[in-house]
Amino acid sequence: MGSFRLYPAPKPGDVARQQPTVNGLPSAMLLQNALWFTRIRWSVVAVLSGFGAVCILIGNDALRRFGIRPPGLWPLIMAFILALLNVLSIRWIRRLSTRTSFPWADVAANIWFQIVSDLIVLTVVVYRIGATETVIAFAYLFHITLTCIFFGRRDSFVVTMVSTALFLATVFLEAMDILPRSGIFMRTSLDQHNMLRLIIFAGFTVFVWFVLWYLVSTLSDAVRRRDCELEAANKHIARADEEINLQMLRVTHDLKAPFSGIESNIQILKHTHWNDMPESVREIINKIEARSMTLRARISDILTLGSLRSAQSHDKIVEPVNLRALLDAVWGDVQGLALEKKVSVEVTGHASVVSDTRQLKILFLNLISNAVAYSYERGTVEVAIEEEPDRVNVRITDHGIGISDEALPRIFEDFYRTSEAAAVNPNSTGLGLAIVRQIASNLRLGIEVESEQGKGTTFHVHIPKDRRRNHNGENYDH
Amino acid sequence: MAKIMIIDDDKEWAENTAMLVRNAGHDVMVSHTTKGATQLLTEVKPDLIILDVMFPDNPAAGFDLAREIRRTKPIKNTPIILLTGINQHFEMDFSSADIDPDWMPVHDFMEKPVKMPVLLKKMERLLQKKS
Repeated sequence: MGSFRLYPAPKPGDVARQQPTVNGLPSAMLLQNALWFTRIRWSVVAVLSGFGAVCILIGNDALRRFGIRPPGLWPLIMAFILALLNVLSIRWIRRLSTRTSFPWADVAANIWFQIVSDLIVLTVVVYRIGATETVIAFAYLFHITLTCIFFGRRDSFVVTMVSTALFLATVFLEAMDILPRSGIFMRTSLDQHNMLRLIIFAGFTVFVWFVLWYLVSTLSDAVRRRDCELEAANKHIARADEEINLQMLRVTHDLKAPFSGIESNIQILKHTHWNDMPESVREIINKIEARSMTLRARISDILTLGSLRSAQSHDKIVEPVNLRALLDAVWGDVQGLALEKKVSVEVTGHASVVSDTRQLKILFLNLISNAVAYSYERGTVEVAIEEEPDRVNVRITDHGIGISDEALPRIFEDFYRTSEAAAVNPNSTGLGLAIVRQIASNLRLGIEVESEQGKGTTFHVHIPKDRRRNHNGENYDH
Repeated sequence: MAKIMIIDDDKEWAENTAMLVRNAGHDVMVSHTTKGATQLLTEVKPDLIILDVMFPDNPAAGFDLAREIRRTKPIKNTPIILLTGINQHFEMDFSSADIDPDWMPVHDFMEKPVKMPVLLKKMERLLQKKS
């Protein structure tokens, strides 16, 4: 029955080749960055406004005395235009954020709007401050670098080209006297007609831009490609995990199905032909049934132990657990055995912990069914939940056969059974307490055992209370 | 005499259980697949359904069928006893406490191997409640 699919581990680079071209950050991250971009712009607005205001306060004459050409109102006007564009961008981002999903192209359009409007405003500022006599032209680098990070190489190259075109056009138009000469210093390099110096400066500036574009875009692409590889590897691992779980389900089902068949055939014999059979045959059938049950229980325990041992820390499902409800459910599961042995089980106390419900249930199922199985007929089992300041203690007490002092240190070993235990419970697999030990290790629980041969045993399970956060960092401490 | 439908891919178990349920005085039909089961159930209109969880083509086929039954008008209120032999090893651990109209829309739940007297008792209780 069933099928098998093998997922070979991907080689580094294989995944990247299977991925579509890396065009930029994912849309959710891009949206976060679009918002961050607008926050940074407010500081540029503040610097421009501050510069304009300080120049007005100092006064034109004083500025000229320092060799600075009075800027007039342009810094304030540019700050106002930038603020206006920023408000538009923020409104656009907020509209995008309210949607449950947004295409990458919509967020990219917003960032492109921000970049293009910034470049236009920046070109005016560069022209006004002095394209060649100051290093203001290097402010274009901010946008080149950010585009390399946000988008792929092609888009960042476009931004580098647009920046170059705007900067060189400004320099050219100014040099050709098509635009009036501008700059914050009274005497400019253009005034000195030093065209060679101008060409070297502009050429060097653009050269630096392209070198930086090449370096940053190459590195950003490499980082993004690595991100894609990791994401694909994670998906691959999750898919392989799912496949293993499915295979385990099928194996378990296939291993246990024959026992259901054997046991149902025995039930047919017992319900239809039982009285026609001699006692010796009945005895053999009972032995077959007992061996079948033991073997099924052993397979079941081996699978449980295997599944618990292979479980990693991230496999724990950490959630609030109502211990009383869990222990009542466990009591329901062992009720059949308790009725058979006429053993009464009393559960007292209430407490909640943050732990893994499934593993706790298996642990208590093993401890309570053991307590019932090793009790004397008409005995009692007490299960008490006691809340302590830093932990919850669950005490399971039986008044049964007990464990000898020599055997006590070995009871958690795989397949270990004392001869007394084997005599009382021949169907035991010897794995129940190994399962308990594994769960205690997985969930970091403390277990203490007290026992007196012939008088009974008490197991104390200490569940710490301080594990208030699950592995996702969610807080359960309300 | 009630009409009982057993849906389980384990042919041996299903036939043996059918025989024992027949001996208890009921009319029993058996299906070894969940494919086309809704159509069959709509035609047969059983009084009770005994349904396994895991089938070779789908490990949760029993759940899917139970949910489909609840959406199918002529059979939506038919009592279902869900059976499984794969519990406890996996995180899909479930028990009677998990019976839920959306997730596990059944009336009772048992783990395999099923003890016949317990199954018959549960069946009688549900059939009485239905009538």
